[in-house]
Amino acid sequence: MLQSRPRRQENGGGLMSDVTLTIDGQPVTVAKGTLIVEAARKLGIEIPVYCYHPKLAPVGACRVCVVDVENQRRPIMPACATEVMEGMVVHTRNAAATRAREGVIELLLINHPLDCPVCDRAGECDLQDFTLRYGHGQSRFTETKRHFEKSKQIGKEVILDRERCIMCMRCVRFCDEVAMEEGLTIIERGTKSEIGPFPGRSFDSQFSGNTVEICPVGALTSRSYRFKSRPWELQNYASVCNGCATGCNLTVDVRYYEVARFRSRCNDAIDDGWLCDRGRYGYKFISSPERLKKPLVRKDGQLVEATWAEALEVAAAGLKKFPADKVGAVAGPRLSNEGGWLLTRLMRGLLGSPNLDHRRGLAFREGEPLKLTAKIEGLDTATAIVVVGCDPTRTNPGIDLRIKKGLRRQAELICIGENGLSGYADYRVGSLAELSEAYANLPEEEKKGLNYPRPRPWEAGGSTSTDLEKAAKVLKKSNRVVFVFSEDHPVEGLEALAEQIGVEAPHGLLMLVAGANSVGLREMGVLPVFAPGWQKLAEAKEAYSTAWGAFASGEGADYAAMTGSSNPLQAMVLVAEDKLEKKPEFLVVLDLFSSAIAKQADVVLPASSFVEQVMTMTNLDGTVQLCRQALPPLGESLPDWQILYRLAEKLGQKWDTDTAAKIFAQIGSLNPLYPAASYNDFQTEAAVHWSYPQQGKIGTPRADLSGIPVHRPDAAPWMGAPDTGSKVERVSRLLAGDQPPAVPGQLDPRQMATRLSLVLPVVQDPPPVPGSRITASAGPQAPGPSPANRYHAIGGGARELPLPAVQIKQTEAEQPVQEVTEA
Amino acid sequence: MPHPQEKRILFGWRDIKDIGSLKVYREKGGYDAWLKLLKEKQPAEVIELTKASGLRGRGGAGFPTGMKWSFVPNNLGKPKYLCVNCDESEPGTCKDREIVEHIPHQLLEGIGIACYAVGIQKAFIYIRGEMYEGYLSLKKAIEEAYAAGLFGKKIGGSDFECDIVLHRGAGAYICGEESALLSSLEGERGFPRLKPPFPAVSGLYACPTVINNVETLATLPPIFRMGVEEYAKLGTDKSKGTRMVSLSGHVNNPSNFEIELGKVNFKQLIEDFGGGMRHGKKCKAIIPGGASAPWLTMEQHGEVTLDFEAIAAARSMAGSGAIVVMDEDTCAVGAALNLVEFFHEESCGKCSPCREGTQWLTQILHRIEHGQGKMEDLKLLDEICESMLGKTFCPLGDSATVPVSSSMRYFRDEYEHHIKEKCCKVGPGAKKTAGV
Ligand SMILES: Cc1cc2nc3c(=O)[nH]c(=O)nc-3n(C[C@H](O)[C@H](O)[C@H](O)COP(=O)(O)O)c2cc1C
Ligand code: SF4
Ligand code: SF4
Ligand code: SF4
Ligand code: FES
Repeated sequence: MLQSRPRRQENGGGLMSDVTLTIDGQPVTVAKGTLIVEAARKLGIEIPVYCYHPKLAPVGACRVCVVDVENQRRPIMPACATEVMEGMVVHTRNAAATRAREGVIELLLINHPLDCPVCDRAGECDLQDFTLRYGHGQSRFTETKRHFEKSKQIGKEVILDRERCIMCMRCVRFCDEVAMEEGLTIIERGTKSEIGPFPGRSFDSQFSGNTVEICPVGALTSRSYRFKSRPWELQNYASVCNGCATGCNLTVDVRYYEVARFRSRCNDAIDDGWLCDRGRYGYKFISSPERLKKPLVRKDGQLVEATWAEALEVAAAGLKKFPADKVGAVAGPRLSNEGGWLLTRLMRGLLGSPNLDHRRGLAFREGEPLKLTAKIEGLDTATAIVVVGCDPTRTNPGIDLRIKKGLRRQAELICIGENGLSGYADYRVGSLAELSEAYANLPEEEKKGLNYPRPRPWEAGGSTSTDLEKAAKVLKKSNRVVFVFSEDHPVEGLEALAEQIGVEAPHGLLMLVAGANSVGLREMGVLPVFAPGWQKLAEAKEAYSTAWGAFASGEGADYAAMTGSSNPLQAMVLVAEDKLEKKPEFLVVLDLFSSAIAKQADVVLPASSFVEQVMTMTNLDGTVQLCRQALPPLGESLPDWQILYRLAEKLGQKWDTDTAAKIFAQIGSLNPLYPAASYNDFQTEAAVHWSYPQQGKIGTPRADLSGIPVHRPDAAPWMGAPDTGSKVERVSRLLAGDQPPAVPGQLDPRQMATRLSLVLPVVQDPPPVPGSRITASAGPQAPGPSPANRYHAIGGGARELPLPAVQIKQTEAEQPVQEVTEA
Repeated sequence: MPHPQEKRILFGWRDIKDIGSLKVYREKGGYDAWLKLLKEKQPAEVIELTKASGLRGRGGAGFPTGMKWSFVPNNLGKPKYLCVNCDESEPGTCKDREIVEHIPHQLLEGIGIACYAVGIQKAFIYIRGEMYEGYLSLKKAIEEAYAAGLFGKKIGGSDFECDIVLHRGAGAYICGEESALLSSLEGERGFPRLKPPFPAVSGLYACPTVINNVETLATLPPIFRMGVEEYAKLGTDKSKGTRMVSLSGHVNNPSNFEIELGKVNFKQLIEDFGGGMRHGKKCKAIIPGGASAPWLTMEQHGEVTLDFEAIAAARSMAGSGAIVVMDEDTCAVGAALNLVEFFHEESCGKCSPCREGTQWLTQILHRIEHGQGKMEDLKLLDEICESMLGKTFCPLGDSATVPVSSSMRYFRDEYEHHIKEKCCKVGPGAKKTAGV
């Protein structure tokens, strides 16, 4: 049902020459092949769009983007589907363009139910916004509107209201082009057209939430968020998905101390603007009543609630009792880099034990780390993608989409073993060994550098073939080959083959790991045989001894040994780990939930989730990303690093890294893989609209710090261009109280959201609860800490506030650990 | 029997008994023109000859055929395709049907000539689903031609090879629009596509593609039989040769006629060919080129000759050659509503101005027709047409405004009468109050 042509740049390569044109009197120079809408965006000129979406091929269907182009046979042209031409003169605001746009908007509204008061999208609806900005304000339609049954559940998460649909086909094209699935389609024609799953089927894609997100109106809504909130009630925090190691960027939208939804926060290098449903709807655990809220200590065989001081005391005493080589730690991949770093310090530096490991260990062989040169983005430019015995569709859905993007461009897909992408494979081969052999046996003249075009439907050869030789030849086309494999799969020969092909970053080996921060923990040294940053233990000893006072540089017990049935240890710290066949004599567990293991523990310390703290994670291609704090920690829970910090305190060491930011700085100073950077270096603009490329990445080769903004309600990706002329005053001034409110008729809903979200914590209802005060500040965008922009917000609402007065601030990262105050 | 004033070139053999069979067609010398070209001319020469004949597309736009062929690049390393547009669904148009039903081999020969000229090895005939008789006759003709070695490999002993695929549409007017035809043929939804890329460069399966109307192609064999120069002598300077017109409406003798371009005016067409107006009524309006063509009136345009330029000069278009005649008793509002309903029904729904606009126009006209119109509606109709015209994705949306704008241009008084008096101004609906 592909109704759109592939975009020019989808074909990659090709020398780009520049074209100069004039839009609304302003000259602009852009690459040949650029669409008028993008050229205008470059000038900061907004052209409204509905069917256009920068990640989808243009269709030019809705016609709201019409502009007036001089010297054309048909001067009214769709800006989203017309490429710029040298000397073109475009008018977006003249009488003809304005009138045409008004006409289109009026027509789009004739059948629209305008049930904004009960529509989830109201407040962030492009139809509302553009009607306000570009419509002529009055409907002359007095006939009968088209009617459909109102809401219709079409998939597990997705609800469709066909009356609100403006037939932009973004959802259909997403399924078609991006997910490459038979998801949604158009049924009937003309005014009877409706969106829906193919007759007799339901829309059960694991990417379904993206259609809800890119729907410009309230036609597609999600069950999880439906009727939960108004967009202007939400506070938006930039974060990173915790669902798998792909590390897709997301925005946490919070309403009254509760996560209302996750949204994509497009990062072209990682997620390309998409989330999978597991990530998108995977926030419900955060407010689960099952979460641990208080420390627990075993007394008389029973786990009972205790104060932090008491629990930490017991934990410290228990760990001290045993010789260092009988103490160990295992961390699950939820743990942050900061937490991992302190765990390494606790074990090797303080307790003197080399027994520590994160969940899986297959990132190295024979004492050498693997050369993982591939970046997720490399899949876009690859000529061959080899999926080696793993299933990205299941484990890392974000990678599945990215592989498909590569296929749409030029890559050929070779699958070894069955996986969710097998149906798209150009070649299937039985094993890596066979493929390597076939590659080695190719005659010399089949040299790389030849650029065969990807087989198209008219060419001979089908979509699959067991022909090894053909597959091997694909590898010879160029060295832009990405091998996607899993940490669980034997990789013998993979590096050798990659080396023969001569792969270079951003291509090469891309290892799928399961847990969100599995890679980060490895690099933080949560390993029995390496120091942080894959340094040899002996080589690292000196630097770490100096920094930490001591450093146990021996090789310790690994994951299998510690969690197996012949576990030699007597005391253990388990962070977010749920496997332990033999319980040691003394067990401390840090976790969010009371797992089966936690139930056996001697001390259980409640940890905060990733949205309740500032922390970094490192994704599977080595990009270090910052999650901002969106919620105060639940109950008395604390970020893992704080727990470990306090534990060290009870064990007699007061570390100087008493903020997450300081830990990150220390990582940068000691870990050779990490740059000497601070949280402030994470880009602040990345959460801004999709149209802005990310600039100025910092970092050394391995570490790539991608976009994390300061507290800033970012524009929803489904919205049009960012406002250039702001119609209301900035948030900070509003808070400072030195500006009158803007003219009501000029309120831009997005600006409204900005304003209201910051005002929200000031609400004085329900009445103050003593001891539950938190401090909120307007964040780095506010003009410095003056009393005028500081408010005391009173907790309450849906969520219990933490009793220890843990401060939540936008500058939380700079806040040292607070003394634990007893309630 | 041909009408005595017809100039039969395309239909020269139309009335020969069993001309639909290969045997008779061959006996008459059918396929010889093509086979001769295969032997004696280079493909490029055939394109030049076609240009010289002055043949223009009969599908609607009147684009010079030889020129269209010359746009197809030869160096893309991709196969090239010919799509024969036999979706004929424009209201009033019925000439392609007569061609495929009666002289199918002439079409096949024309396809052969076009394929040879452009270097095409595969032609698809997209035939309107409802044209069942035509489908059967074409199917039979194709089978016969294959059996006689006229299609397939080594045609006529040359190295030229060409295959024909016959594909039935599923009933959508929009699939006659060339890019929607390609989508439909590929098995996708019949939605028009963005241009550029143009089909000549990237059409069917993203390969260079020529799309020609049935009549255009079926005219080729007689052109080459009689000689390009001879053909070019017919017609006017810019509209050369002959073309089919499908005369329908309130005339005594509605039928397809082949006329020499520029030599017959509407008055003559109705009187001489159409046998005059039915019941001796007066002719009020003429739709000169299918439902998409703006109306003309007998009063003002009776002397306009039937050729591309003269009709364009009268602010209409020659289009598909379907000429619909309305007599003085025809209510302009009712007629406009009828046509707009057709476009509303056939709008594919891809673009908002056409999808929504056709609905709104229909609703308003319906209201006016049924005596519930308001004077403001007339301005509104104008403005809706303005919101659609030139803003839609494909020409169908533009066409949908044509019946409204052109009927209002000449018969605004009838609209006003309908609104004020709540009944038609003319015809059986006059005086009688329309159903309120
Ligand atoms: C809405 C629409 C419907 C059309 N229907 C037909 C049709 O039924 N038959 C046809 O030959 N051309 C039709 N056309 C014109 C074709 O798009 C195309 O111009 C024509 O087939 C080209 O052939 P020609 O160059 O031989 O005229 C239609 C165009 C539009 C916009
Ligand atoms: S989709 Fe937009 S315009 Fe329509 S009802 Fe919802 S908020 Fe209102
Ligand atoms: S459901 Fe939404 S995204 Fe899909 S076509 Fe309708 S308006 Fe567009
Ligand atoms: S103008 Fe009408 S028929 Fe053409 S694309 Fe738009 S909706 Fe479809
Ligand atoms: S036509 Fe350009 S945005 Fe829809």
